[in-house]
Amino acid sequence: MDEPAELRDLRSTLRRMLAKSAPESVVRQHLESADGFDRATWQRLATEIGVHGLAIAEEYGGAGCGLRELVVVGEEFGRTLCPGPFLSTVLLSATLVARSEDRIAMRAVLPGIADGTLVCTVALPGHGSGWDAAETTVTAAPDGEAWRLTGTIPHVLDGLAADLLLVPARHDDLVSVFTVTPDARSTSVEPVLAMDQTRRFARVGLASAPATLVGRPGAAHELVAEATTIAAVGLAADQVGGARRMLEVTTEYALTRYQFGRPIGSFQAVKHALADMLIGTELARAALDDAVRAVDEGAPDLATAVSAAKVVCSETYYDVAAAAIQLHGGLGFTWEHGAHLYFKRATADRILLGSPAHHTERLAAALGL
Amino acid sequence: MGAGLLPGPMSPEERVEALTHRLLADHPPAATDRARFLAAQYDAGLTWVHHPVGHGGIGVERDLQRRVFELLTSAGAPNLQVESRLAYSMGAPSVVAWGTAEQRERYLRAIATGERWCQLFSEPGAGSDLAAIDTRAVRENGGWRVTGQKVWTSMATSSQRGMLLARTDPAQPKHRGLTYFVLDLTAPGVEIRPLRQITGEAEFSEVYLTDVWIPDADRLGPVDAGWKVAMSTLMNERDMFGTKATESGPVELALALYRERAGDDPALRSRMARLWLRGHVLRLYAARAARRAGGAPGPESSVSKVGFAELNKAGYELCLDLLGDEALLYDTYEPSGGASRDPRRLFLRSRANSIEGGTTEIMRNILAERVLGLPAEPRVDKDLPYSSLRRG
Repeated sequence: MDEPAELRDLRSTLRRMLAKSAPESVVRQHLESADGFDRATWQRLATEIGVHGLAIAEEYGGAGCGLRELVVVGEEFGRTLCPGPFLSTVLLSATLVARSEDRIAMRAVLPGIADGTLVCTVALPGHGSGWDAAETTVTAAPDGEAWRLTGTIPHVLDGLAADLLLVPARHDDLVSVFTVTPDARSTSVEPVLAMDQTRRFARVGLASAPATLVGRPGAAHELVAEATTIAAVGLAADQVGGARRMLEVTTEYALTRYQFGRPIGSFQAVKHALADMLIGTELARAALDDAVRAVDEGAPDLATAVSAAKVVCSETYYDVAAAAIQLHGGLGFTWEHGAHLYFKRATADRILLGSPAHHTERLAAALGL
Repeated sequence: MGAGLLPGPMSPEERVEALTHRLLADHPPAATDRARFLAAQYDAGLTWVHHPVGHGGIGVERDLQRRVFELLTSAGAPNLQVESRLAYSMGAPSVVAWGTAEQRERYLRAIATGERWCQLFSEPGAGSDLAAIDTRAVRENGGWRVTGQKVWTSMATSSQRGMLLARTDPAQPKHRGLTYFVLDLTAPGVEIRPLRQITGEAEFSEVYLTDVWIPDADRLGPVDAGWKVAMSTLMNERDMFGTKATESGPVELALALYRERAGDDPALRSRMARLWLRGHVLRLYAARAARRAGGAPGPESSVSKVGFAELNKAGYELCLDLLGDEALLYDTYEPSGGASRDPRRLFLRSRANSIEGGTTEIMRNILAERVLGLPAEPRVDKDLPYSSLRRG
């Protein structure tokens, strides 16, 4: 690897820690748990390595690094299917709040995310479409200095585990972001079964739930767009990490599985499929690196670079995980083997924060087609 | 010569620049005969700056050659890297690695002063399996008598010499009985025939060798060690292909056609965006691979090779679909039609991209074996005498 030393150190430290805290047995144990992760382990990742606050400013308890460090975490979490609200809390919520420049909200939210005590999510409307705040059907009504929110969001990532919801809601022809602390009286949270067993979704109902405005009124579209853009790069890292892992596992299997008296990896049909998996992961990493560059430099081609990475990494992870099942033969189809967990996650990752079709459309628009 | 006549201590960069400026001042390209200019460039050590003094260099970093070419090109001087690419980039490194002192002296000066070389490796019966070549070289009074047929030779008609791989010992296994020669293409018995291809033109030639006599002084490297010499030549070829492939045109061409003709067909729009994306990612990858490898060709070049071949094919397919029923027609199948930039011609030409310079299938084998460590292809003929192998 041609990685700078500080990133390599972060990667190896994290890999060692995840080998202990998130081995396959632990991942499997959380496939059935309500929250999908263990809070004590999640906090330990924060206190021992400071993973959650890498990209949070130092004055809010973070390390003040860029996305390139956070992407290493995304890759390693993706590689191990590490249980935890990384996408919802660290990528989406922390970015949205940090970009709001609302100091009160930042003080209330960011230090808790950095130290692992606060689980937070963004109640995004219309998953699978544009992930645009403007599509929200939640309404906000003023209540003195505060607000009250009413409406339903059909599938909120980590909705059950969240201590705090960031909700885009409509009022006075504007869409703004509000925080809601779920309470039994005005908030209903019903878990819904996700195809991706490593992720949790919940249907969240708000009935005049007390809420606080984040950032300026009408800023939801911009804040959600910025947060989903940054988070899409983190998700691309998850995809590269998962694809890389599936390539390794499948290569290993092709070397040790014998049929017709030979390792199956000696058959050209299998070798070439693996070579294609390699080509895919290599190209996906190049696209990911470029998106990270564009974000950390605030480059003018940021939107294009991120959409390009999201398309390439989504398709690569999906194709590689699908090929992993195929090359494992019957074993790859079993519940017992891990391939299906990666395949399901690849399927979800593809849809989350914009499908390849959605991002291709954005690229087409950017190219003026 | 005169590298030592320059004043003061200088960095290698400064030295290269100063020497190049002096060459240009002493021999203004516009007023100097081409051969004279090139000879002066060689004597100044500016042909291959990384070579030792006396062999066209001044013993500095190879990368500095780029600066020399920049200065030469902007002054309107000849550029061998472009004009005699094979001799300059593939022949010379092989001569340096394997030539005798006499050969280095003779061949390097010849290449440096504008001699063009072509490559005589592939044969009708030896494509991906290059070691299966059948052209025979038999010892005869101080030299070799050579008979056989070579194919896919580019620039044969404009070259003076060919890098020739021939079989000298059929009793040995196929890789071991080969010897490498530098063939004078004007020798009696050398016949060059244009090889017409799918596009109608003839970019390549077939070269027939009938009882051609080659003096032993033109043998490069030891007898029966030709495979190793050929590998050092080919290492520099893959490097060249890598550079060429990144200058990929189909995306730009498709974009131009799209803007002219696509209307608002959503299927074409999506294909156009996806094609652009593929090109974009391959360029990112190639740039990254170049940074990582520092110029040396590695397995990364196989990823790029496969990627650009597929990109080119898909790109010209899209161009054709954008042309609509005009894609039913063709500009000209006359062999003299030349290399036009007509998208229909480029579409046909792109079929070769996944074959030339190593097929996509061979590239996948390389990636699977060298990067992923999967078992090598069974080589049933590896240890058998060449003469006992089944061919066809």
